[in-house]
Amino acid sequence: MIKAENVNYIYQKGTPFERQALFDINLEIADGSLVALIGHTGSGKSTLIQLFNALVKPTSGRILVDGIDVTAQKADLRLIRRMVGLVFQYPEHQLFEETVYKDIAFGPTNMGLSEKEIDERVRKSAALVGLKEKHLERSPFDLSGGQKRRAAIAGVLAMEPKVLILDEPTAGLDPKGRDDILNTIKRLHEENSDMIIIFVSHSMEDVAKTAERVIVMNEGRIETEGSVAEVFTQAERLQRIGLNVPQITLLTDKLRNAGFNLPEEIYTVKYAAKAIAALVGGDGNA
Amino acid sequence: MLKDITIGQYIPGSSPLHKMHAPLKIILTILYITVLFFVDSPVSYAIFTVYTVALVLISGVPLKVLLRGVKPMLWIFIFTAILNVFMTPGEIIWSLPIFRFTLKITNEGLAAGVTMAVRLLYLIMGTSLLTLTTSPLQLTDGIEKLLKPLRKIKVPSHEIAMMMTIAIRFIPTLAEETDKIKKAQTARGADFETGNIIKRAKAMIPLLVPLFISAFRRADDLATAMEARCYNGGDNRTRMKESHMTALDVKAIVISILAAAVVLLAEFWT
Ligand SMILES: Nc1ncnc2c1ncn2[C@@H]1O[C@H](COP(=O)(O)OP(=O)(O)O)[C@@H](O)[C@H]1O
Ligand SMILES: [Mg+2]
Repeated sequence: MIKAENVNYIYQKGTPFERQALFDINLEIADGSLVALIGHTGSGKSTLIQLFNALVKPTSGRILVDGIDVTAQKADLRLIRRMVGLVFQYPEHQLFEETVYKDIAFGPTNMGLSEKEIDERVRKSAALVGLKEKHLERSPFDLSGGQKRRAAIAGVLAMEPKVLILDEPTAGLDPKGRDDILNTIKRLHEENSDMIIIFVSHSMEDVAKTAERVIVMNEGRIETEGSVAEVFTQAERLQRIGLNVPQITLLTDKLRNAGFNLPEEIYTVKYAAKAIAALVGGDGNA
Repeated sequence: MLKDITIGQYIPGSSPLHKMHAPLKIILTILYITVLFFVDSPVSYAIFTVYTVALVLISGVPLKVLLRGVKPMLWIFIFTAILNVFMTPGEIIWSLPIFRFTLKITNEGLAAGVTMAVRLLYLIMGTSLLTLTTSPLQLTDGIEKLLKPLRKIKVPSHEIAMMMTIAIRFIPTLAEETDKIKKAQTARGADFETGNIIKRAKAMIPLLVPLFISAFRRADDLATAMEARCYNGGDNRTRMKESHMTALDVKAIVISILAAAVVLLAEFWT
């Protein structure tokens, strides 16, 4: 479980460039959740997730991961980094080894695992993200954009974290690349019932398709949180802070206002198709 | 941290120093430094100090910011001062025998140490005043103008200035990038802080390789973008905003030359 208590964060404190990025964040994320973190650019999403694995320490407040205080002065950083895997935005920019295999092995090697265990983990996590054996011996710089991204994610997965955090994992990918990543996230969630997965996203469609819970951030504060249905039915509130609900929700809202008897919490195309089909009489295979 | 680099840390403002014609400001800064190296006697130091303080006050740059540029040089400061204090021969005022050496401080040494430290301090303050009150763009524009006569002997003044502009422009970007990659590798268990020199040098690889790749990628993108907009060097190129000398600049020339003359007179006639 992740728990944040009254967390504040100020960048470059004590300089003329001082800027508070997080205000009084209180949060609880249960084991096994698949959470989307959404919010306008600059709302503090990236800052918040960096606090979760002690890359930066809060100006005040506490964060507990599995009961361990990661904000403590003498926190065991190695343990925390092993527990909380963080995939940065554009993680492919961090690739550096000669081969994909070696790059994925970087994390487990730093953990001091045996060669045999490293090998197992590298192959397992490569397979998890959909990389083939033949890719492992290639240079990471010869892969396509989407493959690079997946190789970088595999590098974090190989550390087998209990909490996996991905900062805008689909940014800058083509539709197929996006779907690959989102499907990987879903599969990870299904196969690891205890793992907490948090991903930052700008696409409400992606969030609706993938996440179970949503945390909405606005100007350094948590605006609202809840299940996908709970959050996306607050269309006006989201629009006020510069976010959107999925386009399909806007469409069905319009239809409902025009007198069609559709349920309120429609946020995926699949579900909309079913609901409309039920209304007009059909099988809803969109 | 890389963020403390003060080169090009321009502080916008509207003081006379900010408004001066950039090439002139560079020349007057060179004059300031030249005069500084002739200053030796207490009287001329006093006059020079008054002049420097006046410049700082006119610029409106907070003293704190100005001294931040001095901080990285602190060791050079101390080292120079100590060397001067102990190594200058003269009238001994304190000595301590260690084995066959005698550590001694002389009157002359003390004076030389203090003089050297003050001189370095003013040197840094003078040049910082230039970079703090001149935007990087104006600065390189100024350098380009000053180098222009050298075009006759085939010195590519525009290209040099353009390279400097780009380099300065990318310092903060690269600093940010370094920070990000460092964090990303730290999250994967990389350790940049502990271990002996060899281990630390090795630990830099996961940082340097991505950094170089990203720098080359940026350079490539920039080159393409410049080419796409038909950039082709300095010949016949004009500027959107031409800056010219104004009455203010004439005053600045007069004041600077007067100040230099007074300091030098005080130095050589007393
Ligand atoms: N290294 C930094 N130094 C200073 N301010 C920063 C830094 N990183 C982010 N910020 C500021 O903190 C705020 C939150 O940024 P961030 O967490 O990156 O937002 P998001 O990921 O939601 O776009 C922004 O206003 C940003 O300008
Ligand atoms: Mg971000």
